[in-house]
Amino acid sequence: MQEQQNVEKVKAMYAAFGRGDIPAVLAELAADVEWVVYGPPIIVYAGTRRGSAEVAGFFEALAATQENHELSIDSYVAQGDVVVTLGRHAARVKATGKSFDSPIAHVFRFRDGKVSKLDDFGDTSRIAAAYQQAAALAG
Amino acid sequence: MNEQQNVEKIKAMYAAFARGDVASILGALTDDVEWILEGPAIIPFAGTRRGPGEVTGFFQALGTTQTNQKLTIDTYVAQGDVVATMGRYAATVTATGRSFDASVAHFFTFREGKVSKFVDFGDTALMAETYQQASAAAR
Repeated sequence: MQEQQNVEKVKAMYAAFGRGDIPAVLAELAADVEWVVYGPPIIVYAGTRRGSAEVAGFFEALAATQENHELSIDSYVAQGDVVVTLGRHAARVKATGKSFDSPIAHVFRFRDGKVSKLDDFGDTSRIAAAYQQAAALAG
Repeated sequence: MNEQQNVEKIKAMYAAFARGDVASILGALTDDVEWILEGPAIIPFAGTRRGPGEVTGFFQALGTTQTNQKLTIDTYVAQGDVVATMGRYAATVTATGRSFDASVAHFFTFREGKVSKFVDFGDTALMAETYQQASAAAR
């Protein structure tokens, strides 16, 4: 079984993300990758993207709107073609100055050694609140 | 490894949930189970609960505030003492008449054949909106 190899690939992708090497992340994706981040549109990187070029937009939206990123993964669960991870994602939204610390779960599906689908779960209510301008709340 | 046994236990718990047999679910938990859904207080089943007594409150909150519940799990990923699942959960919030249909991910950790930790992920922004009264949203 290639579970351990898949886990190593996922760890390498997180490490690449950690050092800002987005091309290394994109290189691990299938050409027709489906990249699904749950949450409302106020979370600018939420939504469904298809293909590496669209996924590049996900990382651009993260980098353009957040600072002080901290991604920590504490569990890897792998079976067959699937790797599921559990951890936390903390960051500050530049435009509002608000920070969040959300639990996250990532579901990576592999096909021919590349990631063909990612599902990204978090406490979307908390993340959306960090993107919400105080003026909008009062309005 | 007892991964397959763990998966069978999770399937039995989902079957019990579908027929409203909460007692069977509680019977599969350790005395000190930790049951976590991070989300805002407007979602009455969100929060951290400890022990089967408190977990009863999770199912009461679901049962008293929702109708037309439908949980469909299509992915089981088991490794060691952990089973991760992914699927969808749909329901109508009785008080508002609003429905949601959200992707969900569940993490079950086993200890000595019982579930000692459960972590629940869904689109909490979507669920919170469904619990929001139209009058409150318009305010």
